[in-house]
Amino acid sequence: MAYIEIKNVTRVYETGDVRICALDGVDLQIEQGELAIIVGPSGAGKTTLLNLLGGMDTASSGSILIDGKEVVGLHGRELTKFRRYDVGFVFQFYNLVGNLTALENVELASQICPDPMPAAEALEKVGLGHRLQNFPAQLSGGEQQRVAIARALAKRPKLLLCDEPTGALDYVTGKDVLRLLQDTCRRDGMTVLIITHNSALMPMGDRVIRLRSGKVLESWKNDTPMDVERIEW
Amino acid sequence: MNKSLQTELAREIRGSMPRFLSILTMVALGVMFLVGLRSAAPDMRFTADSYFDQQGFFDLQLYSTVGFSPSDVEKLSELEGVEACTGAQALDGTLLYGNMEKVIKLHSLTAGFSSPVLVDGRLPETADECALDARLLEVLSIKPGVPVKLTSSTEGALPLDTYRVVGIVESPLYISLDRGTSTLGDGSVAGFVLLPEESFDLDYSTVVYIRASGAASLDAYGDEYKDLVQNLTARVEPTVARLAEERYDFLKVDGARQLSDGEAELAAAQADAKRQLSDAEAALKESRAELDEGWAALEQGKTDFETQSREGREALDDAREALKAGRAELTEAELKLSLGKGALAMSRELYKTNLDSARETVARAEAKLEKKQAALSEARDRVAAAHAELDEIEAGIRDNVIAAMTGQEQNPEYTPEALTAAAANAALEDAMVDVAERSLSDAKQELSDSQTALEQTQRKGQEQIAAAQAQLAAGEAAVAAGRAKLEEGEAELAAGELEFETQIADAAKALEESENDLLSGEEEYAQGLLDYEAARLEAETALEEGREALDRAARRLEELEEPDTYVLDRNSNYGFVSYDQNAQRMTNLAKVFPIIFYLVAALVCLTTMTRMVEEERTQIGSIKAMGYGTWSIAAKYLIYGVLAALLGAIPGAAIGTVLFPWVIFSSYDIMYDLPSLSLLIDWPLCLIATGVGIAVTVGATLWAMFATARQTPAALLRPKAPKPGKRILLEHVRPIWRRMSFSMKVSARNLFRYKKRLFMTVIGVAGCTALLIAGLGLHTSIFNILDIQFFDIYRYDVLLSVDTDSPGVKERVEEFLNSREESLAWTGLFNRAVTFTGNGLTVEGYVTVPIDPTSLKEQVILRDMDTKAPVDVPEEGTLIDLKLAELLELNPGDELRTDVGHIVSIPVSALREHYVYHYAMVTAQTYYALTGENPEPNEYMIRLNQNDDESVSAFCKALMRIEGVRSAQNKAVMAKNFRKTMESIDAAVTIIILSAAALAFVVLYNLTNINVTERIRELATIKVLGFYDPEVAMYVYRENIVLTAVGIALGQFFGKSLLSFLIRTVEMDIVMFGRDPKFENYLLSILLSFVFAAIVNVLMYYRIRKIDMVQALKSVE
Repeated sequence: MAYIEIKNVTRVYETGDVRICALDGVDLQIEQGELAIIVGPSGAGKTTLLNLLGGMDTASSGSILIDGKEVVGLHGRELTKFRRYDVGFVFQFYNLVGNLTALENVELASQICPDPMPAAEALEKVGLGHRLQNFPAQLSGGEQQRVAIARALAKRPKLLLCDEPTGALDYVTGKDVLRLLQDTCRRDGMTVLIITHNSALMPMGDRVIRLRSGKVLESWKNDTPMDVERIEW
Repeated sequence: MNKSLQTELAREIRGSMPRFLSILTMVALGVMFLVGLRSAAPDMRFTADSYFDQQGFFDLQLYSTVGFSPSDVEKLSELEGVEACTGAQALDGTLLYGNMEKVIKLHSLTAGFSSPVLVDGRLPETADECALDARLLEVLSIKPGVPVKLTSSTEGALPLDTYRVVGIVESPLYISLDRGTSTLGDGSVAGFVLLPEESFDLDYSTVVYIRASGAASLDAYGDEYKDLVQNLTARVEPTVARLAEERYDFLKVDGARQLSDGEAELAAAQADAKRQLSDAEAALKESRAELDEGWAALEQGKTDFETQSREGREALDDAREALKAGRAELTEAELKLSLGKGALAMSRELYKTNLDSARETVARAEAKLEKKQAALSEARDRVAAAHAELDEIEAGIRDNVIAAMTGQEQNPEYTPEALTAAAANAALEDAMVDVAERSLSDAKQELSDSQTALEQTQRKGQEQIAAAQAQLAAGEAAVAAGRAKLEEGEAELAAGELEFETQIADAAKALEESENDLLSGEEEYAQGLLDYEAARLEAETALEEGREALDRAARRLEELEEPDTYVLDRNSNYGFVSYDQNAQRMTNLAKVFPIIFYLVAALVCLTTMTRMVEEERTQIGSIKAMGYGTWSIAAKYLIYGVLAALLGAIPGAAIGTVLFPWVIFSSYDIMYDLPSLSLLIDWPLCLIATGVGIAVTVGATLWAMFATARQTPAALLRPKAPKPGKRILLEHVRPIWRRMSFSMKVSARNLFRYKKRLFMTVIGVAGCTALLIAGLGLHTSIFNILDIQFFDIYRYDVLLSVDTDSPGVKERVEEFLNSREESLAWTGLFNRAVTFTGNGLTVEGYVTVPIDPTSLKEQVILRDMDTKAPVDVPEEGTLIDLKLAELLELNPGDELRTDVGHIVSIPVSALREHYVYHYAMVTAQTYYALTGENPEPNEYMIRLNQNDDESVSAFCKALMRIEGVRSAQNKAVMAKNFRKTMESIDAAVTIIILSAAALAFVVLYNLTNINVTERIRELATIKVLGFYDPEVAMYVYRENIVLTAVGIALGQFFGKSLLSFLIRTVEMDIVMFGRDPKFENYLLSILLSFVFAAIVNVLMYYRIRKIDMVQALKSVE
């Protein structure tokens, strides 16, 4: 039994008469401690999949088991609880709270967890031990994204979901962030899912999943993942 | 603005409805308040003015102590500027219905002047009809058709006793609840009664009403009208004074002539009556004498009759008695007879017995004789035998002796012995025969004796029987004779009785007849006497009345003083004036409230537009980049703002114009009898209000807009650097910061991050709280002072006012007060109505001189406003009330200027707490020093030992009976009336509280809405992080709560100032409202503000829950 089991998941958006099928019977398996790269063009259903995995949305049908726990069918408070204890998010635009320092942004997450990583330690981990008291506006994009990662990690989630984490970053900083994610996966055994439209990133994943039009085009396990440094795009 | 921009604008409005609506609402509120409060007073005045004009209300009313003759009225009506003029009656009086007596005002119905409004029935037409004040129905249940008793304080003014109520009316003379005071009863007037002119038996008018030419077309509450009436007053005054003087002279002469005529007439009438009466009296006397004679005869007859009947009855009784005795005798004789018969029978029996026993004795004696004869013969036989035997023996012995001689056998038996024995025997037998012979003779004797006794007995018995028989026969004869005699006597008696009865009956009948004759004679006489008495009384009354009328006329003539005249304008009508004052209060309110709302509208508009412009920064940049000018971009926002303002202003003005005057008028309608409200649409006011509303939004829009719109497109297209986080001051206070929870820290920093919103929320909430405090405070300070004034400060129960011109009134009143045990304590005062001047104001009030300052303190508490420490009437200078000091801007040590015949200045020594009317208190010495007059008490304050309504009312009534007493007022009633006039303020309070709520909602909703919109990304982020919905909401609310709390705290101070401002604006000159609202009001305002905030937050909760994390996080800021 895989750590993450997605079986025949569909997600249909209905707005008035228009019916959009964002996910159309997706089957996937991701093992614990894997770095999974999900690639696909715009509108392939990547984000929808990530939202379903992260408990930000619920599937229309199918089953999503994370560490043996069914996520489909959860609602309201249960879903929030799932987000609260089991998932960490990293967004394209960092979504840090501008009025809080780096440390406080991490604390924002850690204070709601029963057994959080100390905020300072989390920031230390992402290499920002020296910028604890800086406000987001005083940090570069890469640094902000690292704070976002630290914020996600501080909760000690079962799963780290990253939605285009390098989308707003330049090449070098993007690489730094990706390396941090890969390191986190390898060093801490964290299960990490990265969504990207950039297929050049595929080689760095332990598992690669290609989506198109709401379906899994292909999914394979990469036994020899490449280090981020070696990837060029 | 081209089509695409127009489309964009339309979409913008549709897409941001709450924002649009909040601007709209705030402008609507501002306009509504401005227009509404501003319109209320003119509408009220217009309604009243139209009513007054329509009913033909007077412009001037003239009073003269000598009244007005019809020709006076004629002359007055010819004066220039007088459009119409009429004489009328206005008198004090009482109305009695059932057992209820009410003091009333009597008015004559004058065509075209102060026409009443019919509520029920019809107007009175004949002299015995009247119409009643509709307000009287509140105290009396009267329907048209019932009779009431009316009396007038002016003697002879109302000739009839009873009047029929034919209608229920309202009068423009009495538009307010207050019916004024009277010198009658307990001084308070319950209502008025209208009567036709002809009901009054007066040859003069007590009042003259005048309408000024051209006054009807003017606003009676305006300056033009005042000038017109003042001019007319100046013209009328000298004429009135002259007419009164003439009338006075006429009355004096005419009165004297009438008086002498009257005296002559009276004397003649008196003589005539005397003669007629004496005739009647003589006739009566005669018939009396006749009757008395008849009675005497009757009496004699009765006595005779009594005697005769008594004698007859006595004779009869005697006869009856004799008969009875005879009957008894007879009975006795009969008894004796029967006894005699018994005795006869018995003596016969006895005789027989005696005879029998005698015969028996004889028989026994005979038997005894026989026996004795037998015994004798026996004895003789035995003697013979014995002798025989003796002879034999003797013979024998001889034989024997022979024998013995012979010796023959001897016979033994014949021995000598036997011979002796036989001789003894023979002797014995001989004796025995003697005895028997003696016994026989005895028996013979006995027999003869008994035979004699028998004979004797026989004779005696027969004799006795014969005697008894003879006696019996005689007795029987006597009984028979007695019976015959008795029967005869009885027959005689019966005849006598019958005769007697007949005689008696005849005599009685005769007596009765003559008595009846006498009785009817008496009746006739009594009737005659009654007739005489009635005639006498009638004559006496008529004469007395004539006398009284003459005395009255004489007294009037004597009392006739130099006339006083009064020319009074409408301000002398309490209803007219108090209504104006109430309208003025609304005008004062209109000065403050709209400003608050416009201010808040401006603030709301500013934040909203700023937010809008910031949200659309990029869009502004792109449009600008396309080549649109700054103004065409600004136009969108301006039009947005103007449209919102305009759409708000129109309903605001409409609602304000209609609703506010209506609500305010309705609340005053309780106190005033007026037709329904006439609305005036004040177009300029509406335009100004709308203009101000638009100006406020446009100003705010431009302010928000121009900083942004002036920037270059390039700068605009770059996303605005997000507001950088900043350390706040508090963080440097480590001890506090360290102790704060994480969420507190976050909230603290957020609070200061959006300063504009912080101020907005705080101001909005503060405004709401302030309004609440003001509204509630206004209510309590008004109603509190009533209790403080009438129950804490005034300790007396009755306020008595006396006429110092009435000689000896002081002694009468004070003696009464001292003698009554109900009056616990009292004090006398001298009150002089004066005007105080200063600070450019003229204030009406009183100079009060306590006759005894010590006893005054038991009736009125003199104390300092703040410290409540007692203050005294100073030896020098004056003690005045705080409100007077405020009005005239006086402090202790300053001089109070007033007019006591001449202008004087009195140093103010202290201020005291007092709420209603103004009083400057001075000692009698000070007053004397100022005026040279010694004050006599014209008012008394009296505390009773029992102050329930009934006791006080009874005491007032008793006081009113004292000559020279003007009025006696129950303090509790005064307080109640005062309270009633203040109740209309409550409507204003309701409006204030409702608008406070509206303000709170709009401000809080708008700001929270902006808060959420602006931070939607942040909220989505924490949602994604796994914050539960309540936690997310709290993330926002915490700030709201803190801001609301700060706003409420600030609002307390604003509220206090606003309240004190409001109170000063709303209160009338004669009243001071409480300045310190109650603690509960602050508490309530806090609570209500929190409730309003909580409701807004609850509404926001749904908005927060609906935030779509995915969308929010995707978008680029």
